[in-house]
Amino acid sequence: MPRLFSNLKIALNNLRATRVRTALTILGIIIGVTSVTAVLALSEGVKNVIRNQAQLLGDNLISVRPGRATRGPDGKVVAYDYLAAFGSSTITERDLTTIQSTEGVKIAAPLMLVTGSIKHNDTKAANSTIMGTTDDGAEALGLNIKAGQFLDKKTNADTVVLGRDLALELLGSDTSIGQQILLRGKTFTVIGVLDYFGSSATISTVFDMNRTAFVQLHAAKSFNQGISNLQQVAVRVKGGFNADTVAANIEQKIIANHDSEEDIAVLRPHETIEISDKLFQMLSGAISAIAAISILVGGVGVMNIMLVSVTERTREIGIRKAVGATNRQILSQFLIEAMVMSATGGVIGLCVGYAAAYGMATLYGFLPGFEWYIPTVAIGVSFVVGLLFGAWPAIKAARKDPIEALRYFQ
Amino acid sequence: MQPVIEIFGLSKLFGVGDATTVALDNVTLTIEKGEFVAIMGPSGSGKTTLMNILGLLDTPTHGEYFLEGKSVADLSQRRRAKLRRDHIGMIFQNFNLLSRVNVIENVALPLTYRGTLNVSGLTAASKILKTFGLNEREYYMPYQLSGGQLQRVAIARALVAKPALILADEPTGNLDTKSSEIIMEELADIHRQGNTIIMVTHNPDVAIYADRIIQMVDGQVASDSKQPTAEPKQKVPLNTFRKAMRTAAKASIDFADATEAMVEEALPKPPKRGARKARKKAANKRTKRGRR
Repeated sequence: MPRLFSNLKIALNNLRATRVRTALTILGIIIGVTSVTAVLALSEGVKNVIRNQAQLLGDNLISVRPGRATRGPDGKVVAYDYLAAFGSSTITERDLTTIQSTEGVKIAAPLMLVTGSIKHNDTKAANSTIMGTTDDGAEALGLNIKAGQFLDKKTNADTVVLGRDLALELLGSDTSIGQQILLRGKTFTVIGVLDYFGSSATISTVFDMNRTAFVQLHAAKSFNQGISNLQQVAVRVKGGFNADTVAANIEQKIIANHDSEEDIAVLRPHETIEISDKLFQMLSGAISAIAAISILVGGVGVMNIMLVSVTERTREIGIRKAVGATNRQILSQFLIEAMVMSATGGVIGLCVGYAAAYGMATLYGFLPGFEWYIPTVAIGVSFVVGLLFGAWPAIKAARKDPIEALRYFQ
Repeated sequence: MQPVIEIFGLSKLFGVGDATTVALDNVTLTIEKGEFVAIMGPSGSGKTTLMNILGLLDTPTHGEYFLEGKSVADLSQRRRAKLRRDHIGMIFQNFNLLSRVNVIENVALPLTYRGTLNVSGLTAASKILKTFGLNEREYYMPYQLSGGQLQRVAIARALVAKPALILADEPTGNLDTKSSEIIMEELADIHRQGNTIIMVTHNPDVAIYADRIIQMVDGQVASDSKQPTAEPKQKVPLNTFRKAMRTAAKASIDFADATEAMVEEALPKPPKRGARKARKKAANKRTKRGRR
């Protein structure tokens, strides 16, 4: 123990003696750890948002999506065909009627996403989407009207209901009904504005309801050469029916519609989270792996500086050996020095990473998430990097011949 | 009594094949406890190689080396390092202090590697620095000290672990005459306290302090003679020098050189100048290359 302490002291002394290059070396580690921490904290934050969103959507919501979901023996979704989300949807309008006629289904609302510009006079809305749905959309998604009305069977094809944030941005007010706006260049009349919808970023359904313009499904189809492309059907189950049973029935019927091709997924609310969670886990895993490369680069910096330091201090090593330092003592001295650098970088990087994540997250209106694995990973990785990249220089130092080392002149 | 060092048929070869150089050629020596041995000889005569082997920094090609009765031939690097730490104190021509570490921590270094607690190590270092009149300089950095002071710090470091053997490789080689004398007085004093010292030197003025002089030529022992030791080398009460030093240090803390000057003044002139000169002459005769 006293040896570890004195080694730490020696390390700090030497690092202090070469302040600038120590700081630069630590900076390399800081950048790496910062990026990994920020990515992990942000993805945890997004996951929290998704979970909250699913809670808001309610417990009796079933969503039918294109793409096959593989279930394990316990009925849990183990894999989902994400590619299906990029292809044209396999859900047809015939499937929609099938769903609506299934026993236990209270309502079923189609959701058709259309990308395109939303304008009012010269104002162009940013980050907004057009969503085609039916009069059931409001209830199925749990939307409340603030002003005017939602789409119903009698409203015209050129009417639109705006999400609150979108209305505020375009019209400057969340109660201006009767205004005319342009969707993909076509004139639409605003007949209603929605209440603020819970958490802002609805990643589970890929759009932010507060920034969405809801139009009739046939209006949305007219933007797509009259062809429907349903990304999702949101289904509410009647009271007294088991959502799992209803979901199974829907699945069976649609697969029958599709000539036994299993190309859709019928998901319960918690399953939509699981799928989004999985997608995010993959994404954040990939991004943090890329960020981890920068930690490796930082580690190379540590190794580089340690090699320089070992050469510079050849004479010191000789003196230490001559007064009785064993090879292991020299080894641990240099190893500890490398690890002090990388661990310092790790701790600072963790703090900076969280600060950065906080800044970025608040920009999009959510908070970074905290899980214990994040600091463990950040600091653990920096320790391991110090150990790995400090090892070779330290071994080199320990193996120096004392006579040669004592003779060394700079 | 157990000799501190026994070496038998020690050889050291460098290089291979036609390029082989013989640094040490079949050297056999015994050094008893309490001896002050000066190893002399021209450059390339193998003095430093012998010192490195004695100091366990190097291994002989042939021959045997017993340190305090134990063979060191089959020791692991780790054991050799521990022997260096606990049984051998080394003093070098260029002092070899750690430049980034202050005086007291430099002195405590062997204790640090022994695993002694920091506090007790520093206490021991402080105590020994005091006997060298350097207690006011404990927290100076090496670059703030004069050459003579640096060498005294190095001697303090060599002594702090109470080694059985002190090896000094040209301890006065980088010092002026005045500082050399002070250093040699210190070594002589350490010797009088019962320490075994082996010293390599070119300088006959320095060699006179030893009680045994070994001449080396071409890696072999050319002569090995004892000089009378009983008589103290300086007819000055033993501690006058240090006392003077301490008083001086108290009076002027800031200037290392002033201290030394005052010490110089405080020192009574050696009364038996004639006797010393005679011994110097004898030493000169033994040195083949004569005085520099």
